[in-house]
Amino acid sequence: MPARYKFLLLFFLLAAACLLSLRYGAVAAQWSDLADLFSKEPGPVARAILQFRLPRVLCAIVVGLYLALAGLVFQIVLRNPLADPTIFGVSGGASFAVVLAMNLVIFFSGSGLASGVATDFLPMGMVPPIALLGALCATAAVMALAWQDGLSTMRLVLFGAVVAVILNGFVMALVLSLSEARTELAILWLAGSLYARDMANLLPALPWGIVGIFVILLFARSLSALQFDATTAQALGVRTRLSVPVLIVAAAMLASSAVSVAGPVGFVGLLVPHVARLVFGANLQDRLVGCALIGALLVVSGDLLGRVAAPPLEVPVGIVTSLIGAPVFAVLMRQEFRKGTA
Amino acid sequence: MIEASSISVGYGTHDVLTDVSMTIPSASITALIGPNGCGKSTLLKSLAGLHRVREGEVRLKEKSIGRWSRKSIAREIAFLAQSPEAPEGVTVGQLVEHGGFARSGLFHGVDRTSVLDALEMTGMKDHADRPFRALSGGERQRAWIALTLFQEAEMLLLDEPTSYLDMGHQIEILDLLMKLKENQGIGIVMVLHDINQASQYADRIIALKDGTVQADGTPGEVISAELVQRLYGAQVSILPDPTGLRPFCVPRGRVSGQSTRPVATSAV
Repeated sequence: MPARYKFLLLFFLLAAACLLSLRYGAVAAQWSDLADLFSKEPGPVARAILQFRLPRVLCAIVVGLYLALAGLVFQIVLRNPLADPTIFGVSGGASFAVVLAMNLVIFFSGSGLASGVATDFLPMGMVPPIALLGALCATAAVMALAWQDGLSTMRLVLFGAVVAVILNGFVMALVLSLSEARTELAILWLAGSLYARDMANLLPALPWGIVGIFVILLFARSLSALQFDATTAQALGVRTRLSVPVLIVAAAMLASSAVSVAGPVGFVGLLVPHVARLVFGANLQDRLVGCALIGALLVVSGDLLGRVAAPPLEVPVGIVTSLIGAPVFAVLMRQEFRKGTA
Repeated sequence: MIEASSISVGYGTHDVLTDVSMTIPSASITALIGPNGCGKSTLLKSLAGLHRVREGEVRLKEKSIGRWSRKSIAREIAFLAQSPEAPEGVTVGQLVEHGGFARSGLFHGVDRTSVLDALEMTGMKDHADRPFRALSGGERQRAWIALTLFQEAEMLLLDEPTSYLDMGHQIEILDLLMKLKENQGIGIVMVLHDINQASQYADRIIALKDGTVQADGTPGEVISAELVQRLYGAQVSILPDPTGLRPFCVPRGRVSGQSTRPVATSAV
């Protein structure tokens, strides 16, 4: 099947997942309510969909697309099939910043509100910019540590792991220091959730992501050549000293933006690039588009499943993607090893 | 044409090459020989601008190679490492396409028919859609050479192109390189371990030891029992060659019936 039919098929699947996502959820809605969205005076259910579910679906699309593309770029540039946005301290930095902010806000606003939850102190709208700042700082720290007359992939992976471990340690300590009722929001955020996300959460993540995607497209041919070893890539004409750092920064920007919207959603960045390679083969342009579509599809349907599993309770999307993603990943890898292509 | 004028190259504080000079013309085959760790690969990389030179200068078409961009070097010099890594899951055609990187811009891609031409030259046309990983060692090497040919460079630098191949495939690759030199006027520099292959195929042999040039000339001028002793510490006899152009080395023990090292003999 030619790649463009596969794109079309994925696009239809994504559209279907989006429609289902708008239709199903805690508030009962009918298909007619979806049609009602386009009328001049939408009914109350349609307004609820417009206000709550639509931004959420858009967030899911953006998060999936960003994470999958970031994962693909990380895996190629770091020459590591296990690389994903959690490497590199992107998730750790974002988590640390958010949990630290929760602690600080509670500390400075004084006590007396023992029963209050963290949302009372730190409005949800503040979380994404804080997470973005933390993720970008952590990425910068990793790159600074790994810089020594250029970047080596080995140093990047090692220092990325070190920074991630340190930050995760701090995150655990900070979460435990929040009083019981207040840990809930922190844990919900850390699991990777799209709960109560609206356009205000999404908008700050757009410019960073668009710049990141633009840079990746600009360097797509270098990225493809970077799949060879570094010497061969250079011999083919790639300026590795320029393209490697630029691509890493672009991918980190995408990953940071995604984490800032939804928290560290697990497994998307790791899994989707491998799935895209199995579906589209080795051509990098096909894989870039494929990653974007499959990533969006995975997060939208993961969020949908998490919401319809046991309404009105929600399973955070990060947990769904991990629970579905990991076994799927294992099956795919087994098949690939059996075919002898991995 | 690539020129090196008294270059010294090193890793860290350790010098691998000291004061090496040479001029590599196009339409000729130059073989670099020497013991392991003598600096052959480093020299090859330096000539391709892939390794920084500490002293001296490498010039490509009379301009210092440091002033060329990576892309413009790649249009002049193709380089094949000893054991390059292919992208995961590529077909032979997709592998070879990457040779066009330096020639194609952001918006115009690679011409599929010229990919097939490069594969044709190496006898790999029928394998274009096969996965690279499914190829045999000899086929892989021919695919890599097709990639370098697709670069359409004037010079081709190869690091031990025959090392992991059986004898049949070794000769196949060397014959292919010979043809490329003769038909396309490509200048070839390659690191070889087999001194006899160097003698048979090269127009010129450069012998290196401890980072310095020990001998530089035609096989007839360069190869002698004394040189082989000096380079490798091995004793050989030179078989008389009627033309005197391409001498052939035979390890001494075999010719005289005496081994230079004690050999365990078992009673029959």
